[in-house]
Amino acid sequence: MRAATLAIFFVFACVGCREAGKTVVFTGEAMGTSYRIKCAGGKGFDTGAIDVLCDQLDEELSTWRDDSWVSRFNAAPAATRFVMPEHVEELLKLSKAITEETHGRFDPTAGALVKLWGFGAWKNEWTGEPSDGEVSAALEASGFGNLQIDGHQIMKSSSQLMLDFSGIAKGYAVDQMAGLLREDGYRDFVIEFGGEVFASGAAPGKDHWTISGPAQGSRLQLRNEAAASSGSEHQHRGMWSHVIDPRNGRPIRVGPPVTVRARTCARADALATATLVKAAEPSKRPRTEER
Amino acid sequence: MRHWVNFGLLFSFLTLVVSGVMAFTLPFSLVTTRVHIVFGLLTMLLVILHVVSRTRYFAGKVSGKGASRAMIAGIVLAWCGLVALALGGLWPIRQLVGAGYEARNRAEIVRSSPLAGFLETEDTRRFVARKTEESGSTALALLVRFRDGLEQAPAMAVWTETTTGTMIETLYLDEVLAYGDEVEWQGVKTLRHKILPIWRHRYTMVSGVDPNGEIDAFTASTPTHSFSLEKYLDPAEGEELVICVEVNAAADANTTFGDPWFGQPSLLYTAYLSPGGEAAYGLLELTAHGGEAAKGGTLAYDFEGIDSAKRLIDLLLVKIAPTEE
Repeated sequence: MRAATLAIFFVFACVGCREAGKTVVFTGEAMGTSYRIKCAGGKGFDTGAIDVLCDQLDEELSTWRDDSWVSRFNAAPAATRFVMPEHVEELLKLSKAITEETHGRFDPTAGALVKLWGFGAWKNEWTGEPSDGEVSAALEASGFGNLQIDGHQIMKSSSQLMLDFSGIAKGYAVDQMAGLLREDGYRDFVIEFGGEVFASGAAPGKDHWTISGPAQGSRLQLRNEAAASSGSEHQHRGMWSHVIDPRNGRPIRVGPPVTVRARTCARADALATATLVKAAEPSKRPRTEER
Repeated sequence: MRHWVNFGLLFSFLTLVVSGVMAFTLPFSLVTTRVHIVFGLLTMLLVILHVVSRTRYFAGKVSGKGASRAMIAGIVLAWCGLVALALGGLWPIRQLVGAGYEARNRAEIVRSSPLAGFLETEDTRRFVARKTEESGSTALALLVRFRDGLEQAPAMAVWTETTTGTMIETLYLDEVLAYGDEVEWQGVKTLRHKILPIWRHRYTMVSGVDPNGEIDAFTASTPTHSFSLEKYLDPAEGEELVICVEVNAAADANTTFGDPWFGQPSLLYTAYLSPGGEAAYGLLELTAHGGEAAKGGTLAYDFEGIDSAKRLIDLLLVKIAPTEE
C-alpha cells in the first residue's frame, strides 16, 4: 500500500518536472483575428484575461461595431465633447507622436478617407471612385489639428472627422497582452496577433526568438523587440491598396509587403503602415526598417 | 466462476492499462481506441460480476460500525476530491493531462470542422463533403476516384483556399497524417511535410506551427478572411474560393525522381469555385507538384519526369450546391 502511494507521488513529481523546461502554447480568437502565445517554461496562464482585454479594446476601438466608443465618436456631430477611455487616450498620444515622426504617412484621424474609398469596416459602402471634391473635403476634415484634446476629454471641429485605429490597434493589443504575461511572471514569450509579433526574452536554449517574415524564407531574430508587417495582398481593389496616403487622400498602389522592427508592437504596427506608404513613393522601396 | 472473474479481471485490466497508456502517450489510433473500448466494456462487466458475487461482503462493510464506516467515508471523500480535481482541471490533474500526447502536440493535430465528413466507399474511392452550419445541407462535395489496381491508396489532403492562396479549412487529411508531424507512413517513419509538402506549408501559414520547429511566430499583413468555410459557401456573400487536393504515393521512384521511398513528388489538383446560383460541377485539374514545396511552399509547374504519379487519380469531381433556406 505504501509502495503504491509512493509510486503515484513519483509519477506526479515527474510530470511537474517536465513542465519547467518546456514551451507552452496558448491560442485564441479576438478582434476578428487569432492570437498565439508561446511561452518558455511553463505554468498555466489564464487566457480569460486576454479575452477580457481584447473585448475591452474592441468595445473602445472597433470601427466594425456601431456601439464602440470610436464609432459613437465618429457618428457624433462636431463640437460634441467625449470622455476618452484609457486605451483611446493612450493610443491617441502614441499615434500623434508617430504621425509627426512619419510626416503624416500614418494618421488615425483619416478614417473619413478610408470610408470614402470603401476599405476596412466600410468595404460594403463602396459605390465607386470618389470625386476630387469629396477627397479634398475628407482630407480637410482629417488631421490632429481638427481634434481638441483637453485632459481626458476630446471633441472634433469637423463632423466628418473619423478615427480609425486599425493601423495600430492590434500592435497595441499585443503590448497589452505582453503586460499581462509579465504580470503573471513570464519573461520569455512570443506573442503573435493577426500578423503582429512581440518577442520577450528568448526561446529555450537560444538567445532570441525566430520569426518568419512575409517574404519567402525571410527570418528575423527578435529579443525584447516587436515586428509588424503591412501589405495589401489580402485587402485591395484592383491595383489600389487598402492603405490610404493621409497626405493626398488617395490609396497607395499595391506593392510588396514591408516589415518593421521596433521596441513596442504598437509602434512597429503604425510604422509598418507608414513605411508601406513611404515604399509606394517613387524611387523608394524599403523592405525592412529598424526603428 | 470466481476464478474466471478474478483472472478475467486481471487480463482485462492489464489490456486496459496498456491501451490507456498508448492512447495517452501516442498519436490517436483507431485500433488502440477500439481495443480500449472493448476491454473497458469487458472490465465493467467483470467488475459488476465481482461486486454481485461479493454482495454480502459489501453489505457487511456498509452496515458495519466504527472502523468500517470510517474507512468507507474516507474512500468516498478521496473519490469526491479526485472527481473535483479532474472536473476543475486542477493540480496535479492538469499537469498530468498536459503531459499527454494530445496536449503536447495540440498545434500539430489537424481536425476537420465537425461539419466536414468523409466516406470511403471502396478502396479506390473517397467522398468528402462539407455541410453548412445554417441549413445543415451539403454545400460542397468532392468525389475522388483513384486508379483501379493500386496496392495502397496514396496519401491525400483536401483543403480550401482563398483566391489569394490562404488556407481556409482542411476538409480531409489521412488519419495517419493528422496527429503529428512525425508519422509512420506505410511502414516508414518520416515527416509529414515530406509527404504532403504543399498542404503542410499552407497549414504552417495559418497555424504558425513550423514543421521543423525553427520558427516561433510569423509576421505578415493582417489576414482578412475567415478561417471557416461558412462565409464562402453563402451565395449572398459573393465570395470565391479554390478547392485543392494534394496526393502522393509512396515508393514510386523513376529515373528522374530516384529516392526509393518518396519517389515522384506530390501532385496538386485545384478547381476554382464560385458558390451561388444553381448547383455546379467541376473537375479538378492538375496544377503543380510539390517537388520544391518542402523548401518554403514553392509550387513547381514543370511536370517533366513525372509519369505514374499523374495516373494515380481517375476522377476528381467537385459539386457545389446552393444552400437550402
